[in-house]
Amino acid sequence: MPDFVKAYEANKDKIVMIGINMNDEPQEVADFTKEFKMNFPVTIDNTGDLTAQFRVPARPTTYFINKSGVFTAITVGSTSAQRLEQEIAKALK
Amino acid sequence: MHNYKFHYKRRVNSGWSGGLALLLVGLLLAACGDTASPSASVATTTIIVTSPATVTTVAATTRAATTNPVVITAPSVATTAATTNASAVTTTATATKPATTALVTTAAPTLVPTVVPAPPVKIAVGGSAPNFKVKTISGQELQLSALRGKAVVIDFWGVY
Repeated sequence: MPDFVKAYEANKDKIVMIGINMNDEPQEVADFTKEFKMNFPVTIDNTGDLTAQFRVPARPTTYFINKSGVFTAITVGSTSAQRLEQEIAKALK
Repeated sequence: MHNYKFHYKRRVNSGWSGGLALLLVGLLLAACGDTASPSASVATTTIIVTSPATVTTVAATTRAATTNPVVITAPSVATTAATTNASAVTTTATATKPATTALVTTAAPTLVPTVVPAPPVKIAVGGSAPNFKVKTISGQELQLSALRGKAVVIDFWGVY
């Protein structure tokens, strides 16, 4: 998560980052966002609807979407800081 | 100085309330029926004990298919004893089905993501992202379709 916080800080004028928590307990989520100083919008998929709609195969999974609303990359599992920068750059093209 | 009249009155009242309490327990057991039957379907019966002073609501599992409210009006003198006994019986009856209580206490989620109805889309690179609307934990509303023109990163994550 720290890599996401840094990537958002570096690109927040160009991208929108949304953290979708996969149905953890609300207080745990609040504590986690505070601990990692998450500076981007976070929601809780407490119905499982979003997880199903995006057919999320594992936790975590990250979707990169370009300005036209098209997926440019989907990374399953932890995404390195370097990969994050690469995929954000690709989505911004 | 002792007030014998007062003591006599209290004794009469407590005996009367005990009798009414037994009547209430009898009614409760009659309403519950045979809950041990494996074929019994479970529903909720609400028994409301009312008096000028207090209103107490208790619940029990029964084999009835629908909710059957039973309202018993009791005079104020009998309220304490009747309520205590009824609650004790109810606790035993509901202990076998704690799910009913759990559902009530875990209701009312604060955040409900909304998936905007749309035909299923292929979730793959090159495909269009499905639209959705969410309320964030800080109260902000976000809709993906409103973010066209900006690159979006969506991270599905967990605390462990």
